[in-house]
Amino acid sequence: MSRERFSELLPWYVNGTLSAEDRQWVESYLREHPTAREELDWYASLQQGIADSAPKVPSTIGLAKTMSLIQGDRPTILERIMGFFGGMILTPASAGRAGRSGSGGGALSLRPALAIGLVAAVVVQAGVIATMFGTRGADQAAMMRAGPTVAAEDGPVLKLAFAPDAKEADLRLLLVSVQGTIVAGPGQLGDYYVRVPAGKENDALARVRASALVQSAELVPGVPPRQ
Amino acid sequence: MDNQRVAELLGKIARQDQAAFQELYKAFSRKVFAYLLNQLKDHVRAEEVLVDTMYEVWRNPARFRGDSQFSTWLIGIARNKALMTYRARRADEDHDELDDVAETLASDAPDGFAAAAQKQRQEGVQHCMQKLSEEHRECLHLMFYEGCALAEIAQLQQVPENTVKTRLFHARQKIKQCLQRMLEREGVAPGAFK
Repeated sequence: MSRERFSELLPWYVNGTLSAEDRQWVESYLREHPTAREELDWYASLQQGIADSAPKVPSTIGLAKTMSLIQGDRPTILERIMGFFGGMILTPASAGRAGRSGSGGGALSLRPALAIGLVAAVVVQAGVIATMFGTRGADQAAMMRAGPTVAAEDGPVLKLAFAPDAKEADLRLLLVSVQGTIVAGPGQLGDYYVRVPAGKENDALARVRASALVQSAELVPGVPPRQ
Repeated sequence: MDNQRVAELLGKIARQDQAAFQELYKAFSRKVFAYLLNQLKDHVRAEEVLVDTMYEVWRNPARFRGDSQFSTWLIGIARNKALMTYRARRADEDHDELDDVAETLASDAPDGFAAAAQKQRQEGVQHCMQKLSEEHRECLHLMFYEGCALAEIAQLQQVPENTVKTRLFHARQKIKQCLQRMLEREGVAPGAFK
């Protein structure tokens, strides 16, 4: 029985996970049976061999791929904007309900359609802007007059930077809560300009500052001119 | 790295702190990779599952509650992912010949250990580990590389502790048998392992 117990405990003695009581028992057995030490040496050698056979790789193995996954995990600004507007057409909840009811095919197809529509709108707008710059020499004064009319609603706006992990649905709710509308952005630093009803700027500012979705918020006199 | 430091880093990771994640990653990647390579025997696949495992930590850092060593918890995730991803590879063609003879091996005569120890120090362990079944190889790896306790191995392998003991017994027998063959091929007295 002693021999069996010794054989059972020995591997755990070698890897250092035995209780103090069992450890003492094994050491006592080893003192009484010197030949048993060969078995101890065998396990110790096996442990060393396993440690030595471990792959020699840097601690950064796979790190670049993991970081790439992590950074890809964050929605881009474009994705957030698309999500913001897309959510007005079809909320995830309604999509889920539609999908489960078996009639969701048409509803779900709205998102790609919306994306294409938005891209088309951007292309048209870019064309208009390009046309403006292209004719600048011919009728610069007219174009200069036309420019400000786009930003006809002058006045203070909120300049906001959202938290990187903010969800589109939460952002939408926040903006709705202050009756805000995005009028410009994102800028190079990711700032958005949000207009709220006149006279409610300070209340809105306090509200968005209290939100964890917002990294920074300030009231600025107006939307800055394009660089 | 102790569990307290791990908990600090996980707290930061929950706040999307990439620097904290990288510190944690570098502290544990080699252990997880060694485990995966030992199981999958394929460098590329081991790295794939490592990435997947660590990404899981990034996404759900709060899942670790400190009930075990972090490395043991991490290996549990890696193990599940490896099983899910490469379940088809579980049939192992290499260890069949050893399975046939494992149950009929001679008892552990004390005089055999010294010679076997000398041999495996040199080259035998890695070769013979690869001849074991997945369960036996994993058992030895967790025990002697990770330093896991009996209960931890049982939890990781999702089997009773007695099953771990049985696996360990057979793994030891098979390793000895493998080393004995190597010794015999190299002219060492065949009776060394009677």
